[in-house]
Amino acid sequence: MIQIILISHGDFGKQLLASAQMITGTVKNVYAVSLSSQETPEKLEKEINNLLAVQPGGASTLFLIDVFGGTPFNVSVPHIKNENVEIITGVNLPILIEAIISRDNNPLCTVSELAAHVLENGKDSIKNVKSDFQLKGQINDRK
Amino acid sequence: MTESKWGLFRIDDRLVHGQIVAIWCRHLPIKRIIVVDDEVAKNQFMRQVLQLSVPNGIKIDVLDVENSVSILNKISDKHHVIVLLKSPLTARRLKDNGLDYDELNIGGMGMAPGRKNVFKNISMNSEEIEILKALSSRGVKTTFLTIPGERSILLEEIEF
Repeated sequence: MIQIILISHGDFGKQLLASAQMITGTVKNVYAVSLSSQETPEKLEKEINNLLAVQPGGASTLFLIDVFGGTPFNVSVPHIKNENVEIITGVNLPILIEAIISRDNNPLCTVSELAAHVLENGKDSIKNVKSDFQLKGQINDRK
Repeated sequence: MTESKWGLFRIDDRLVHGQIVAIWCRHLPIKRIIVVDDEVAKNQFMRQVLQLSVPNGIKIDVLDVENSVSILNKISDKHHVIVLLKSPLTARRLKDNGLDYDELNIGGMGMAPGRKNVFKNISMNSEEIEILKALSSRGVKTTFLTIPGERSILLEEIEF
């Protein structure tokens, strides 16, 4: 099963996972790693290596990172050399939910397919409600 | 001379990260970031990663300690440059090798075995504290400040 690892500044990832589970129910094999302001990058790397080590050989990992270019990003990127690893940055709640549901409903899906799919989904989830749905007209008409 | 003042000469064990790119690079007229670290300089892959971390318009270089001094001393617009080091030890090695700097910013040093918390997110061991005190007595003004706007403090004001 593809392992999903969230890495974030502070508890963003932990809380995002808690919120996702309000919708998906309790999930397995999804981990949230928090970078605290006191922590060194080396300690964060160790935590991640420990999580990767419990994966059975050949299993894949999808990293979901809060922000492109921060310390969570810097510590995950070296793993991209591994063909069983993908990284998506700018994780939002729709991305996390979609990653969980897609993974659980499609056990044969590869981590690269999963990454491409959640990326599309995530981008689509960001909308300007008025302009995207052209609601302006309807709101005035209802008066 | 203002020409010899670096935009920021900083110890930060996270090197290039959000605070540097999003905050410091906007607060100061920065055109270039130079990381001085022997480990990172040897690591071809990490050097590529660091290239990704900087916004367009900002150049980034990764140098090893020995070669960096002559390169850094030759830079004419130092105020456009952020120099990043991982530790006080590198700061001392640079000074010993003849690098010209008289201000040092301590921006981030995480908790590790042997270290104790000295101010906000900065933790150090006794060797690191001694190195900074020695640099200070050599005329390096040492300030603890993570990002502009937060409370800053001079080395001399800290009770270790």
